[in-house]
Amino acid sequence: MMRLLMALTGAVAALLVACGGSSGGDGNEPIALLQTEVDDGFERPREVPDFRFPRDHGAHPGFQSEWWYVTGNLTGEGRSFGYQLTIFRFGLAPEGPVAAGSWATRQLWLAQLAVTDLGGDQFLTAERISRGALDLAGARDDRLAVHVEDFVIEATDSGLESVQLRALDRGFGIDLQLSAVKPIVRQGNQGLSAKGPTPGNASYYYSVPRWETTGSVRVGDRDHDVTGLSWFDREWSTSALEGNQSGWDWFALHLDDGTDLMYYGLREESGGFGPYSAGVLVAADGAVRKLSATDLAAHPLDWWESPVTGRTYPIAWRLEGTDLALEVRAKYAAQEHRGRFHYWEGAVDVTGTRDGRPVAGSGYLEMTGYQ
Amino acid sequence: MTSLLRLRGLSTRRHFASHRGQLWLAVLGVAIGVAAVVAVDLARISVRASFQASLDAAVGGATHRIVGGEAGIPQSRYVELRRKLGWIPMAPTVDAQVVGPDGLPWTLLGVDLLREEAVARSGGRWRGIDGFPIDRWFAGDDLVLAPEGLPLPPEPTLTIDGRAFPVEIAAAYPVSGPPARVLLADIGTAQRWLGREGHLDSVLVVADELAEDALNRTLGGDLRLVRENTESAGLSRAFELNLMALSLLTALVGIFIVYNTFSFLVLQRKPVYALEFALGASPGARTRGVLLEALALGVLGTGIGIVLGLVLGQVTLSLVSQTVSDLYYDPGDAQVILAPLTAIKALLVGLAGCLVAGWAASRSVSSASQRISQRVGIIASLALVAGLFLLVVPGPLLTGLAGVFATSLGYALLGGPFLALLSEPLIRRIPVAAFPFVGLGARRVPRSLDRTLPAVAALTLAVATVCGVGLMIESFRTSVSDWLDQSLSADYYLAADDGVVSRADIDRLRALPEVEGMSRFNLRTAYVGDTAIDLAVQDLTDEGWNSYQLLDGDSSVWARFDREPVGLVTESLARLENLGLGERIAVKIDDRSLELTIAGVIRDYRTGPGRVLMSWKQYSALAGAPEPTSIGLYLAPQADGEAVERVAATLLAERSDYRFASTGEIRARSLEIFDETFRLTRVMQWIAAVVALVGLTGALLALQLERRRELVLLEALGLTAAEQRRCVRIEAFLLGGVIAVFAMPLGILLAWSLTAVINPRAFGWRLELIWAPFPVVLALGIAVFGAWIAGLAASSQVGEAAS
Repeated sequence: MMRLLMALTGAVAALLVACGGSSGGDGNEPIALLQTEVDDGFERPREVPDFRFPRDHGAHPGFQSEWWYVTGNLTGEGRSFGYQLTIFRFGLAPEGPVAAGSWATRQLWLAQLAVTDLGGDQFLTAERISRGALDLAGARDDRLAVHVEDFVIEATDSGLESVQLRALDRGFGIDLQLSAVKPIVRQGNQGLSAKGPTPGNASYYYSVPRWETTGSVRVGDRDHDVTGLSWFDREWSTSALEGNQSGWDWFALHLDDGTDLMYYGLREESGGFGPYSAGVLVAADGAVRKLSATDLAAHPLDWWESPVTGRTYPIAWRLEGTDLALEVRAKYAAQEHRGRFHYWEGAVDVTGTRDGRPVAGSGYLEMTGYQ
Repeated sequence: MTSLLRLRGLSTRRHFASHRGQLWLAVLGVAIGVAAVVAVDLARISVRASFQASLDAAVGGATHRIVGGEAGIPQSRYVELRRKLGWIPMAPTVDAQVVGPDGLPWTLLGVDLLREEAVARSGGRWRGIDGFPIDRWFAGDDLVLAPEGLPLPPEPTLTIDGRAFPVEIAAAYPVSGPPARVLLADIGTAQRWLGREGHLDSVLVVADELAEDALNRTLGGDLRLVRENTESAGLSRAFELNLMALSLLTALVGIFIVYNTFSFLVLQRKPVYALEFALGASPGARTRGVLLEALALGVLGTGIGIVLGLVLGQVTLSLVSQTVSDLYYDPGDAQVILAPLTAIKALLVGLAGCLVAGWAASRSVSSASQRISQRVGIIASLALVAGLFLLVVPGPLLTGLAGVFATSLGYALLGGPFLALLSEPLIRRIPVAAFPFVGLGARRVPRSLDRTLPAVAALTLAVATVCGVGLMIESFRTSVSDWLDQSLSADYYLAADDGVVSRADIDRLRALPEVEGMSRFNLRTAYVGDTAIDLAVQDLTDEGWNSYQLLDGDSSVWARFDREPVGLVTESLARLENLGLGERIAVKIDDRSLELTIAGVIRDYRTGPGRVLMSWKQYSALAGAPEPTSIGLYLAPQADGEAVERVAATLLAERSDYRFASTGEIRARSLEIFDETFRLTRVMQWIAAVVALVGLTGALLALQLERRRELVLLEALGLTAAEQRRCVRIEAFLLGGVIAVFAMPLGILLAWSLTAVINPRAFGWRLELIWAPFPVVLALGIAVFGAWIAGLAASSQVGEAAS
């Protein structure tokens, strides 16, 4: 889904380049990045797309930004983990000639890895940033294969049935194999996901809602064999948020009856989710039901204040729809990213009812724009 | 008591009002001492800050550096590293010296801004700046980042290898200290300007043990991980220690002067103290009074001294910067920085020195003076013995410097009493009847020596420094000059900075009838253990063999040189790595390791960790024939070099990385650099001498006051004021002479310590002490002439003192 929807102008990209890690001062607010001006030379998603795979698993440099986003919950050897591996591409300028030489590029790439170690009460993060040159970072066109240095998301063939994730930082990392249980889901209108009333203010967006996951998670010098479920989002755009939007909350939940729910709320400054909030409910058999802003209500239940940034995030929610009543609660409160961007994204537990029957599950929650 | 205090205040004011000259002399004494300390310290701290800034700009927080073979690191290897060990902070670098728009040398660093935060170089601390053309930066436009605080035109031109590159300043990066002359460009852009596409000069790394292990397992081939910066840090420490020693020496001379000044002031007012005593003031009250005056004088003198020191600091700083840039690195525009510690030192020398000196001077009026001089004698003897011990026993540089300091201090302090003892029998032989004034003046000398101990010590130190440091510089210069004469055996040298001298060019030069012989050199970075060294592979002519001075080993080495896998190591490398004859060393180069037996230790005055010399033939047998990176040309007897120079000029026009010079040019430039290097040392000598002479003047003035009664007696005997003045001048002249002679052994000892102890410990090379007459004559001249001037000043007080 929209996740860190970053429409980067030169100044914002400069911040991205220069402010890294914990030394980067206050970090950047993702929402601020969305409300900046965009170079007119970039393409914008206006039409319903005609996705062509595997080509569309690769990069779209005509658009300003895009991402490959995998999140999941894993257990094994008596320990539970959440993980997130995300790769972003940012176009510094619309494609055009660059100077001779292998380092010259108009593309910057960023990868973020997070592991929530629930047994060890720790939230571990790492980043890679690189230019889209020299094979330091980039994506292939003939299959899903994208990397920033040694952080890699890679399919074994042209489909998404079998994918590998490899990202190892100092003292923690993941090495996972993913197998698709459900086919690709096109978000919005056949993959055109509008974010506001302004034409072109949208993204091209598809997901793989359920990937069975096996592999290992390393924490310290120990590798833990794990299994679990993952969610994959693919999105590219040049869009900016509307001026009255202050942030978003995104849920991707796997329920134990085989249902998968994705819902994002675009928060407005006046409070509450705006009319372009949307989602999707994918049944166990793969049947897809679109959710609009009015189909689901979300209420914060519990808050957590970051002792480092002082920001307060709602880490427990109640989601209510016609046939759905779920309570979503963070598995670990301190899952706040404090690298180049400050936001909260982490593993959650789910309990509640679906069609009157009790359900449970797990998933991921992303929250931006909180102070 | 209050009325006594008022009386004292009144008397002090009156005294200084009627003796303004003395007041200013006292203030000047304190001020000069403080100024010298401040100036040297400022230069030291400023250079250190700019050294840090340069280091910061070039290396940042990197602990290691990955280096490659002759052509650097293929960038594909760097990409492999990032794709395998992305968690290790590293930053790729190409760097080169370029000429900036100001005509000065600048370092051009090619960096990947995305990797700069990993190693925290100062340029990498650049933050997002509005309007920074980030897209153009990464697209490879001709952009640079310049340091804040160094004004440059917005679109300057850089000269690289003789070619002009117009560039644009994209933004300024912030610097925390004095800005270093370092420009940043994108790595791809820098490679393009420098013609080094596809290769990196090095990759800086921040590595702990874990990362080090991981890298060592992964590197291989001709890539190596080496510790960053140990060499320059070591050199910088050595240099800083030298400066600190000079600063301490100056402080010592300064403190002597302060003491001297107070002895003078206290003695001058002895009658006033007697009066006060009669009126009921205790000796404690007198001491307190003197301390108050000392404090006032100290404040005034220290204030003036700090200002004077700041001015002087500019001069010393420019000299130090010159030395630093010639020997170590380009410090950019170092700025004078008044650090709190310098201010504290100045206060310590000025105020604390004044208070202690005032207290000691006040005590010396009483009968305790005998005990004080006895104690000084004991301390001085101990210092002398301890100093000599530290010099003789092998140890680190610091103990060597402590040895020099203690020996000098001990010897100088012993001077007064010792000279008095020695000179007395000699002086007694002067027939007073034949030379009444000389005799009279001379007879005063032994007693004067004893009574003016601090001034004698200061002058002894200064004279010995002039002589010792002078001898050391002369020895050093002669050694370097001899070494250059011997090393530069060819008539011309042609070197390629960025590659090899091409076969075609060699053939062209060789074809000239004037060229009788040629030697080939291949110079490259190699490693002995973790130490980066220069490996010089040489193919010498018969004449070339004589170009090395063997410090260890015998001439049979030349017979073995081409036949066996032997290497010659420079003295500094032998010392650094503790290598001796017959030992085997593994010289790692590219992906090879050459096992060599050390067959000799050779003299070498280059800075750096040293070099290993091996034969062209042996290297070819072990690792394949090398390409020459430079060649030496030997002309036929009586041949004219013009034809060679003409051909060289055409070659230079074709290859911008070629450098061509005659032996004479290289020699002249080397000695020029040498002389630049010692400019500061020479200036410091003069400062010490001036400070000491001010001290001596003060001491002689004090003596005249002490001798009021004597003068009255002389007057009664019929000596006119003019004749008395003559006596004083003769006395001063002889005093200077005696001190000068006494200072000579210390000077020679100093010269020996510097050449045989300090230099080997600091730089790894030993110098031959050469007996040059000039420094000795200069030192003697300064002492005698200076004493005569001091005598003139003191004699002008005679009339006043006698009245």
